[in-house]
Amino acid sequence: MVAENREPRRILVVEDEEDVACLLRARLEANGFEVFVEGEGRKAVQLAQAVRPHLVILDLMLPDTDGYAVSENLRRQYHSCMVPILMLTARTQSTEKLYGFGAGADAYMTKPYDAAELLGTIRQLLKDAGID
Amino acid sequence: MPASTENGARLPARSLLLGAALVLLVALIGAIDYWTGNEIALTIVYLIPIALGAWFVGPRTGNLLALLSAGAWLLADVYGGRAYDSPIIPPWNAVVSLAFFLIASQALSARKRTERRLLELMDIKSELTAMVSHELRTPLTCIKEGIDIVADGTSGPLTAGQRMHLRTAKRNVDRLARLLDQVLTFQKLEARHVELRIEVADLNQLVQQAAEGFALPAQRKGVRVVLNLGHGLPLVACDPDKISQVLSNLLSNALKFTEQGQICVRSERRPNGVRVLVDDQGPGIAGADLERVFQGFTQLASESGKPAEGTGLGLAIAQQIVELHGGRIGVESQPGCGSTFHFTLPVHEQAPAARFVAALHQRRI
Repeated sequence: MVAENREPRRILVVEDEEDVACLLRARLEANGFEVFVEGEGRKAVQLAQAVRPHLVILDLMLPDTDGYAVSENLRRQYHSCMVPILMLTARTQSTEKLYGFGAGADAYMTKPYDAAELLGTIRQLLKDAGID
Repeated sequence: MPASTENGARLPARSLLLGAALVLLVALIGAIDYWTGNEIALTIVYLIPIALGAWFVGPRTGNLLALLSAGAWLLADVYGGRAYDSPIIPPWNAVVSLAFFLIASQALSARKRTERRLLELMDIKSELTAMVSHELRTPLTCIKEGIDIVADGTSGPLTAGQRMHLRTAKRNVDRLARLLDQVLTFQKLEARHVELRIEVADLNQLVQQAAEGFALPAQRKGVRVVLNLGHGLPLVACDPDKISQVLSNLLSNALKFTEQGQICVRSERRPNGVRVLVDDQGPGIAGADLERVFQGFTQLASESGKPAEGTGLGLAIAQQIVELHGGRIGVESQPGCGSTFHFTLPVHEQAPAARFVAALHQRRI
């Protein structure tokens, strides 16, 4: 509300399911975010260095590597070591969730997700990171 | 998959060590046998390493040990068997003992194989459930978000009629998601893939929390939730999250079937623990159906009037959790008089009476 003309917040969506990625893009763009989608884990880490997202939404089951490894790699890279990571996955067990936090996630949500909850979590993560 | 490769990697080192130890044992027994020439008494002793070999490291080592045992027996007979006057007896003895040992080793390893196969099948079952749940979750995510994004107007304005139909679709997708969660929970409980985080807890407190959660939905339906909790009940050792789920399942069941009136939650001391009872004023359950209420998916199969909302797994899950705690769950009901569901948890042995803890809480406040 303060700055209407500020640059939009960039979100990198790492998701190999095209339908899920497409809906996430629509939802996030409708809420004023700029969205980048990548389906492969390794490319996603590279893309994160290029676009320097304000937040990463990360699926756990990816074709080349799993989301835990992507999260750990993001944490090792200069431009993404502090970026808020939201894991959004179909894995619902509490051990998997704990493992996710161990790999560097800031939040963990399970599919099917609730859109309002997702947006609320994104805003909270951005706020916590001092971005909004 | 990871579990089986782990097994495969661990097995050779262990089997080598065990095999060597057992061969040594056979050699030792063979030596004793040789010096004493008293092989009959040692038959049982020979069987021990064979049985162990077959049990721990499979048929191949078992058979090898059987061969070694029979060989040792033959040697002992030939060199130490001073009692025999016929040269035929030692080889004949060896053949009989070999057959005897081979059968024992085969039988034991077959049993071991069956056990392993069973464990494998159980692993496959839980893997399958996990896989299916994941495979179902992804399309469900797309359907849910697809409906949501249209229903909340993000992708353009809607007419009232469209919104109504989408709301119906949304309600049912949510129901499907809940069903999926419950099936998974039930499967995990059934396979005992659940760890209880046991704490010493005050059941009354858990009951109060659960009842508070139901105050609003009950009020909306015009049903009162009444608490009648016993004083000075001992504490119980339980997983508070899981017991809260039991209470929530019982309350939601009671609320589902009570159209008007009240739901009463009571707690009382029993000789074998603490009992919580939930009385509803629903239609009640006929005697023939009483035994079936705790079975999974029962409700889906029943045809008593209109099908009630829900999965039919709530009570089955409650039963599994209570039994996992070493407690008991039950129901008393008569058609037309409502039902009482109750469960009893064993008392924690060293637990002080709850009122002391309550007093501590009060002091802290």
